[in-house]
Amino acid sequence: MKIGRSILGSFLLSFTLLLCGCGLAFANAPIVIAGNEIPISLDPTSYPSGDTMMGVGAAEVLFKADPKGSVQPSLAKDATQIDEYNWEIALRPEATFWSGEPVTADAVIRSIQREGKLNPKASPYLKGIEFSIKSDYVIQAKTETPNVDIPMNLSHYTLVVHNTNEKYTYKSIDTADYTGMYKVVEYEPHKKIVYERNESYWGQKPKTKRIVYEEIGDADARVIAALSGRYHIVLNIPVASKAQFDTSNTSQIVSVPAANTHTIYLNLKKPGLDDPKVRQALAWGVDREELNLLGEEGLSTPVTVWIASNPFYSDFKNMFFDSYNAQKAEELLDGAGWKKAKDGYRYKDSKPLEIVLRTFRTDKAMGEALQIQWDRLGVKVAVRHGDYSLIQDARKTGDWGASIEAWSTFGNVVPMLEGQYSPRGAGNYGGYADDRTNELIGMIANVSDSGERKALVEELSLHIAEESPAIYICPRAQLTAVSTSLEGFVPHFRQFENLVNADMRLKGQ
Amino acid sequence: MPFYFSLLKGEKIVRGVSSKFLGALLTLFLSSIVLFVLIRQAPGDPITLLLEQPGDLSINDASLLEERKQELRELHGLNDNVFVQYKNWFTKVLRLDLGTSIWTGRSVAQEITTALKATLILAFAALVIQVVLGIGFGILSAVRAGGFKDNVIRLLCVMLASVPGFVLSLSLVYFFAVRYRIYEMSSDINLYRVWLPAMAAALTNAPRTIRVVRATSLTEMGQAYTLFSKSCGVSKRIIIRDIVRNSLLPIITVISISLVQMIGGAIVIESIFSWPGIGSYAVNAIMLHDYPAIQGYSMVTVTAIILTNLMVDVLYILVDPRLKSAPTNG
Repeated sequence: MKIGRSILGSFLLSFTLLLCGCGLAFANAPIVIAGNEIPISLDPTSYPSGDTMMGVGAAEVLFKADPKGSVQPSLAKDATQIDEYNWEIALRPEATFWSGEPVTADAVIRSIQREGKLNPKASPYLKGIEFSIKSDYVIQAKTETPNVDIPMNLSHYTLVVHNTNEKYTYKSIDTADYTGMYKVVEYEPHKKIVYERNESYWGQKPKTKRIVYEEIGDADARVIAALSGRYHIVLNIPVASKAQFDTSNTSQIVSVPAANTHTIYLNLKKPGLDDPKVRQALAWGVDREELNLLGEEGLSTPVTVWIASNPFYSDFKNMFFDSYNAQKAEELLDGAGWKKAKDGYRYKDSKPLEIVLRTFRTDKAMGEALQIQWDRLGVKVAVRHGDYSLIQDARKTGDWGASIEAWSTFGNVVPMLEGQYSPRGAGNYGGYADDRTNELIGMIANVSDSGERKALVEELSLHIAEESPAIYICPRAQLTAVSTSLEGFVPHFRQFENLVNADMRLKGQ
Repeated sequence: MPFYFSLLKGEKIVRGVSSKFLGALLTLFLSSIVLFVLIRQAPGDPITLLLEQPGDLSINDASLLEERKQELRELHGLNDNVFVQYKNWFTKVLRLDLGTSIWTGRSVAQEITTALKATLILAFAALVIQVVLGIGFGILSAVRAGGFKDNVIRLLCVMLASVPGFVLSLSLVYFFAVRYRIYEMSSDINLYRVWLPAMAAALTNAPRTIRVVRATSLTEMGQAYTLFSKSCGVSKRIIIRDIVRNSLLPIITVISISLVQMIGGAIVIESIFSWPGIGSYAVNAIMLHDYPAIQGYSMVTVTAIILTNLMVDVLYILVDPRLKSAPTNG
C-alpha cells in the first residue's frame, strides 16, 4: 500500500537524517574518563567529591601514597616528628589556590577544621589531633595519643585542601577553590565534570589541557563505553568482563590489587567456630588460588593475613598458611572432636558442624567455591547471597556463621587494626576478644619507628593467623580499562585517587 | 431547549471529571500510606548502609559508630514511630516538598525533576517510533493479511517479542557503539543520544502495538461501512484513514500502557545506555534504602499512572463522540 510505504519511507528518512546528524567525536578529544559516580556537589565535605577531585588532580592533599604504599609529601613540602606527640608540617610558599590566594598554614588549618566539622568520614582521621600555626607556612600538630602517623592521616581523600573564605560556598564552579593542576570549568551533578589545565599551578603543569569525567553507573555500560573507544580511562570494570578486552585494540585492562582484602569473617559465637582449632582448620582448608581464580579471574594474589594487601606490608602475604593443606585441616578438626560420619559431614555431640555463609554483590562465585572446599572437609555450608543490608540484619539477629567482605587496609595502622580485632572494633563482627592481641595493638600504638612498628604488625599478624578469627583470601582486583591511545597512565593500588598525572597525554598530541 | 440540554451535558461532564479527580486523589492518598509502610518493612537500615559502606569503614570504634548512627537517625526523623514519620512527610508533600535524600542530602523533588525530564524525553521519543512502527506495519499487515508481507511482519513481531529487552539493548549498543562507532556512549541527555535507547524501547513495545493495530484493522475491514466504501469506489487512502480512526481506542490503550511503563522507568534501558532517567534513580534509591527518594519516586510514578489514565479517558471521549453521552458513574 502507498500509505504503508510512505509511512515506512518517512521513518527511514528521518532515521537516516538523525544518524547523519550524530557527532563522531571520538578522536582528537580531551582525555575522557568514565567512573561509576560523579559527585552531587563540588563541596569536598560531600562524598565522593574529595576523591573525585583528587583523582583528576584538581584537588590535593598534604601527603599522598605512592604506588608502593609509602606516604610522600604532596601539597606539603615535608613533615617532621618532633617527639611522640608533636609534628611539624612545612608547606610550600609557592603553592596557591586556583584564585591565586596563597596556601598558608592558616588556610590549611581552616580547611582541615571545616572537613572535621562537616564531613563524618573525615573526623576519625582528625580525632585527638590539634593543629596550630607555627609560622605562615608551618603547621604544628599535637596528638593526644603517642606516635600518630600524621602524614598517613592527612593523606586521606576527605582532607583535600580547599579555600574556606566566605565567598567559596562550593555551590557552583565559580564558588569552588582548590589547589590542583586542573580547574573545574563545567559541572553537572551526577553527570559530568569538565576540567581545564590550571595555568598558574605551582607544580609541574599537565601536558593535557582538558579532562572530561562522566558518570556511567551501570557496570556493563562502562565495559561497552571502554570498548567503544570514546573513553580513555574507565574505572571499576567488573572482573568477569576482563576477557572482552583480550581481543580489543582500543582498550586494555590494567589490573592492580587494591589495598582491600577479601576476608571470610567468622561468627565466633557459633558452635564450632568458638574453637581456634576449628577456625585454623577452616583456614588450612581454603584453596586461595582456586578462590582467586573463581572470584577474581586469577587477577589477584592470595594473601593469608589481612594487612598484606597493603603494599607496605606485602611481604607478609604467605605468612603461617603457606599452602592449601586439606589433610592438616582434617587432622585439626579430628583433634577438636569433630568426627566425620557416614554422610561425610562432621559431628560433635550429635550436632553437625554447619555454617551459614553470607555473600553479596560479586562474591557469590567465591562463596560457592568456598562451600565446595569446606564440604570436602565435612563442613555443611549454606550460601545465602543477597543485598548487603541482609548481612547487616543477620549480624544483629545472629543468623550468620561467616560472611565475605573486603575492607580497606590502607591507612593509619593502629585504628585499622583496632577496627578489625579490638572488642570495640566496628569491623570485629565475630566478637573476637583476645588479651595478647590487644597488648600487641597497644605496643604498636606506642612505637615511633616505622621499622619497629612493622615488626610488631608482623608479630600480631602471626598471632591472628594462629587464632584465625577471620580467614584472608586475596586483595580485590581493581580493573581499569585504559585506551591504547593514552600514554603515561600509572597503575596504583588506590587508582580512584590517582587517575591522572601531569605526564599523561593522548598519542600524537 | 438545545441550550438547556447542552447545559445538562456540560454538568454531566463536570461531574464525571470531578468524580474521577476525587477518585484519583483517594488512590494517591491510600497508595502513599501503603508504600510508606511497606518500604520500611524491607530488611536493612539506611543509616547503617550509609555509614557502613562495604570496604570503607572510616569509624573504627563500634560505640562511636553507633553514636553517629543515632545522630543521623535523629536528623532524618527515623527514630519517630511510623505514624509520626508519615504525618511529617505528608505535611511536606502538601507543600510539594518530597523531603531530603538520606544519601545525597539534596532535595528529592529536585533530583526527581531532573531524572524525570530525561525519562520523559526518552519516553516520548520511544512512543513516536512505536506509534509510527505500530500503525505503519499494523495497517500494512492487515491490508496484506495472509500474504508474504503479513507473514514477515508477524514473524518479526514474534522474534522481537521473544527477545528480552536487555539482550536487544546490549546488542544494539554493541553494534552501534562498539562495532561501528556510530553511537556515542556518555551520560549526556541530547537528541544525538536519545535515538538508540528510544529505538530499543520502541522495538520492545512495537510488536504488541503492531498486533493490536492489525487485529482491530482486520475487524474494521470486515465492517459494513468499509465494504460499502469499497463498493462505492472510495479511495484506499480514505478507507484506511477511516479504519485507523475507528481503531484508535485500543491503540490509545496500548500506547498508554507503554507510556506508563516508560515513565515508571525503563530501568534496564536507562542503565545500559547510561541514560540518567528516573529508572536509574529508583534503582539507586532502592539499593541504598533511601526512604525519601523511594517514596518520592513512588508518588511520582503513581501520580503519572493516574494522570495517564485520566488523559486516556479524556482522549477516549474526544476520539469517540459516542462516549460523551455514556453514563458517567466514574
